[in-house]
Amino acid sequence: MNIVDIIGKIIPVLLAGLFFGAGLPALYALGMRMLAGTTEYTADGRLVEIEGPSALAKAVGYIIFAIIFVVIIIGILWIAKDFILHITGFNLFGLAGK
Amino acid sequence: MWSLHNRCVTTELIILVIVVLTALAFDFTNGFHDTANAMATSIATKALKPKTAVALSAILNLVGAFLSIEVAKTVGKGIVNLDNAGDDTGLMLIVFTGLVGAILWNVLTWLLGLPSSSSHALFGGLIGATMASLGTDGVLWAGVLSKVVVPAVAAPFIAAVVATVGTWFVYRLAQPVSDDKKRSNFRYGQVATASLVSLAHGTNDAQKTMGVIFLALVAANEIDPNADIPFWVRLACALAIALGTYIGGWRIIRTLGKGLVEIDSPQGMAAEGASAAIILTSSHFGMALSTTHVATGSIIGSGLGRKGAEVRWGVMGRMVIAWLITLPASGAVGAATWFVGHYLNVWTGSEWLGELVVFLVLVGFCTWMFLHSRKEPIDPSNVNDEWGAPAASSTGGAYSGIASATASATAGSKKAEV
Repeated sequence: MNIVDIIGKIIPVLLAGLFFGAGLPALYALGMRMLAGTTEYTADGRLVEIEGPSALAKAVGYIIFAIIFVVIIIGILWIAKDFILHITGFNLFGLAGK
Repeated sequence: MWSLHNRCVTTELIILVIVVLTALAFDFTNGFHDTANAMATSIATKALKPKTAVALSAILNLVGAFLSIEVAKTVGKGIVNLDNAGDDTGLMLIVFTGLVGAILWNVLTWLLGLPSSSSHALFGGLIGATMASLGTDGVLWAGVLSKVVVPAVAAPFIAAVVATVGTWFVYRLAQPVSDDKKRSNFRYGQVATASLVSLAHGTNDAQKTMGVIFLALVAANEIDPNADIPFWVRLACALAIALGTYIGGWRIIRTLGKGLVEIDSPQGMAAEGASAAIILTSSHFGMALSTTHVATGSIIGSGLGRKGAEVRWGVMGRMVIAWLITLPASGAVGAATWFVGHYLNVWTGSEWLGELVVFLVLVGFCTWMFLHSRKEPIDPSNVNDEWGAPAASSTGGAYSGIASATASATAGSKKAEV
């Protein structure tokens, strides 16, 4: 195993990690921001909401949360793909048993 | 003839029972050693109460263990070559002493509060026992390099990069969100990501013990090599890892949750999100990364990605030392116990005395380390105490490094170790 092989194996792991592992938390934070409305610091330094989010921002926020929810469900099915293949014979993602 | 046959069967059965019990004990240590990987951040940020966190993780590990269908029926495939182990008794002794090496290393690192990979401990123990029995030819060094060493070096860096980027974005994007909404949203985020890590852990790690027990059953001619894993093996392994997780390795939880970085809830979510994503995708790309190395790297990254957060590199340094010596240390114990077991049998002509003595040595050392841990107990009540503050007990010793902790372990002094 030479250094090129090693880097060749690390890069896809890193990219997938960045896409899901950094991307999804970032997307979640973006969803939070969409639902945050208008906020203001109080005199004692707390950040409080003074006005709710607009209807549009709210809709975008919920769509983002829905996307994340779906990805998590897919993640669980991914974990369970071999189990599903064994029990039902259905090869989810076409990758089970590998 | 009848009585001779009978005697052999009884001996085989005794050894089989000892090996199966030892395998389950390893599974149990695997559970409590790795609770921290999923739950340390949620416990540190108080997203979950300590007991709730370990209970949730235990249930998900249990479920995960049942989800693992494709159990590898070989142990350490590609790392050790056990084809030349001779008769089945020889194979059993290698697997058994390998497990003993792994358990002793797991319990010692737990005592010192150091997260170290249970898979590495198992591989190390097996490599050591194999070398003792078959010489260096029994070890597939190219496999050790590509399947153990390279992933171990790469994992913390990959995880740290991912978690740094994630943390940076999360803080940026969520900055204007009110404190109340931050608290509740990040709490959900942390519980969801930590749950995914727990589930993935159960799926990956319980399998290893199932494979070990299956191998032992085959060696004892109790099962056909092509048969399915029996249900009782699956159930026993699932329960052992879940029980271990529920007991919770509080010493390691404390190190990962409080020692490495002062974690706030956005960092906790980013760290576990990174861990979950990397653990779930890496094996697909042919590089199975250890949960422990990934989780530690992610927590470091969550400290790097937050402006002004402190990463305690001294604590990290101790972990890296533990990681570096995991393979040789558990290997040395595996080899030493193999020699003890093997030569006791050779000298006394017994077929089981060696195994029994090694088993008693294992029980003795584990009891001793457990009793030692009671001098400075870490439990749900003090797991979140300020890092570096005097320990809960009256000794008031500062949390010390691996060197002094080891020294205190040997000297039996009361200096605190985490």
